[in-house]
Amino acid sequence: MTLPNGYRALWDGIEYEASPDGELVRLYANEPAPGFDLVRSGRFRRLVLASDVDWLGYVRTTATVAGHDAVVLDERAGEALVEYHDPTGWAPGQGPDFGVRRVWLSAASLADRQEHRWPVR
Amino acid sequence: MSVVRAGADRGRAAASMSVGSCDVAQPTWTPANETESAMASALATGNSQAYFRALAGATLYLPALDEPGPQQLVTVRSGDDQYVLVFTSTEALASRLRGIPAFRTTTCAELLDKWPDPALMLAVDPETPIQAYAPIQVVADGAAGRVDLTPAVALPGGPVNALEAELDQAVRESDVDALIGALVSGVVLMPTDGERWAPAPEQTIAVFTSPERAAAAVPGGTPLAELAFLDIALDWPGIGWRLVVNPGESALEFTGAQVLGFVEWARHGVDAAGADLPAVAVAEALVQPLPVELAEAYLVGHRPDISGLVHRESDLTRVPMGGVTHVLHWIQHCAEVCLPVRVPDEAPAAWRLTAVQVPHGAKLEKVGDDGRRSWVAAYDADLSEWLPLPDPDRMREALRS
Repeated sequence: MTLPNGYRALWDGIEYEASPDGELVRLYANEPAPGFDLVRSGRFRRLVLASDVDWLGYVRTTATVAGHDAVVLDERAGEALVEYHDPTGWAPGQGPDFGVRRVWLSAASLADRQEHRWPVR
Repeated sequence: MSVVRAGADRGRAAASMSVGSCDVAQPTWTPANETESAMASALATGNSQAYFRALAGATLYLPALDEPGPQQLVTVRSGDDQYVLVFTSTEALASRLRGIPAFRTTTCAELLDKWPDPALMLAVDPETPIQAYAPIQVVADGAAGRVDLTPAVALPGGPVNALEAELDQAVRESDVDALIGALVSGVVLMPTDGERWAPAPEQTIAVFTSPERAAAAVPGGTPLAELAFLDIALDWPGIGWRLVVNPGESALEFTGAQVLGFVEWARHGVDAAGADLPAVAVAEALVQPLPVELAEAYLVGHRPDISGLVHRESDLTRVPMGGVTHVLHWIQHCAEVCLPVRVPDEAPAAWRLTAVQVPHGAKLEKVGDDGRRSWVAAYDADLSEWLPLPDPDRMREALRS
C-alpha cells in the first residue's frame, strides 16, 4: 500500500512511492518488479534519473478527526495513523510535542478526507 | 467587577475584545441593521458614548429554548464569570448559536429591570467585531458618557521589530484582522523553567514580542523559548488558561477560547497572512535545531518525518541554539507543505512543517557543548532508517593506532 503522506513519482505509467535524491529519484515498490532490487523485506527499490520521471510530487492526505484537522500518515486494514493537534489534554511542564496526537484510528472515524498533490518541479 | 471590554476599542482591556471578533465563521462580518452600524462606527472612531447609546436603544435578541415553562436566560461561563448572551440582530444570533430554535426580544432597560443576579455579566454579540462584555449597569453609564474607554498606550517606547510595528499599528487603528494576523503568523518569546512550558500563576501564560519587553518583565537569566505563536495556540492547554502578550502596561490579554480560536483563524487566513512572506525555494537546503529528546526520536526511533519550525541552512548561524543538541539538515523539495511564519526583521526566515517526509540523504549533525559539530547519522529511505555516520575523530584515532 502506498503511503498517504510523502513523495511520489510517476514512471513508466506507474505511480510509485518515491524519495528525491539529487539527480536521482528512488522509486519504491512492495512487490518484485523488473529493475527493482530488494532492499529490505517487502520493499523493492529502483533508481531512475529525475529527468526520466513523468511526474514527481508530494502527496498529502488530510481529514477531520473529531473536529480537528489531521494529516493521514499511514494506513492499514480499516485503520489510519493520523496526526492532529488537540490541546485539551495539555498541561504545563510537558514535553515540546505535547498537544500533538499521533494515533491509529478506525478509518471510519475520519471525515472530509482529501488528497492534495503538489508537483515539486 | 469592572470588566468592560468593547469591540474594536484600543488598549489592554479592549484587545481581548477585539480578538474575540476573530470571526472564524464569518470572516466578512457586516452590520445587519442600523444599531450594529452605529455600534461599529462608534468603535471605529473611539466614541464610547455613541457605542453604549446605540446599545441602550437597541432591540436585543435573546436566544430562547423551545421548552415548556418560563423562559430562562441563556448563559455561558468564561473563567469566573457567567454571561447572559444577547444579540443585536437575528443574524448575529443565528451565526453564533446554531440549533437555537427561537428568540425573544428585549431591551437593555428591561434586562436591567429584571436582572436576576448582580454577579451576572452581559455578553453582547460575542465573537463579532462589535462585541462587548460588561456588567449590565455599564450600558446605562456608558450611554450617559460616564464610561471612558480611554485608548491605552500601544507599546511603551515604541515597536522594536516588525511584529511589534504591526501590532502597534493594528491596536492604534483598531484593526482586528491585522492584530490577529500579526500575532498568529509571528514568533514570540516564552519564559520557561527549562521546559518549553513554564507553570504560571493563575492559569496565565505569558509571551513577549521582543527580548526587550521580556527583559523588562522577567528576572534576568530566565530562559526564553522562541516559538511560533501558532504553535502555542495549537498546544493551548484549554479554555481555562489565559494568554497575556507583553505583561505590563501594554499587555494584550486573551481568553483561552480566543487563543483556541486563533487556530481556526489561521486556517482561514493563512493565504493572506503568508502572502508577503518568503516561500521555500525549489530544492532548498533547510535545517531544524533539535533538543536531545527530539534528536533521539530520529536516532533511536527512526522517525521518518519533520514537524515544527524550520529555517534555511544558510541562516543557521543566526538561529538561536539554546538547548539545541542536534541540527537536522535536508533538501526540501516541496514548498507547499512549508507554512511561512512571520518573524522579526533581524530573525532568520522560518517555516512551520507538519509531518513532512524526510528525503533520502537527510543528515543529523551533533552540536557539542563546546560548539564543535559532527555528522552523526543520515537517513536511508530504502530502509526507512537513520544510519550512523562514522565519527571523524574516532576514525583518525583508529588510523593512528
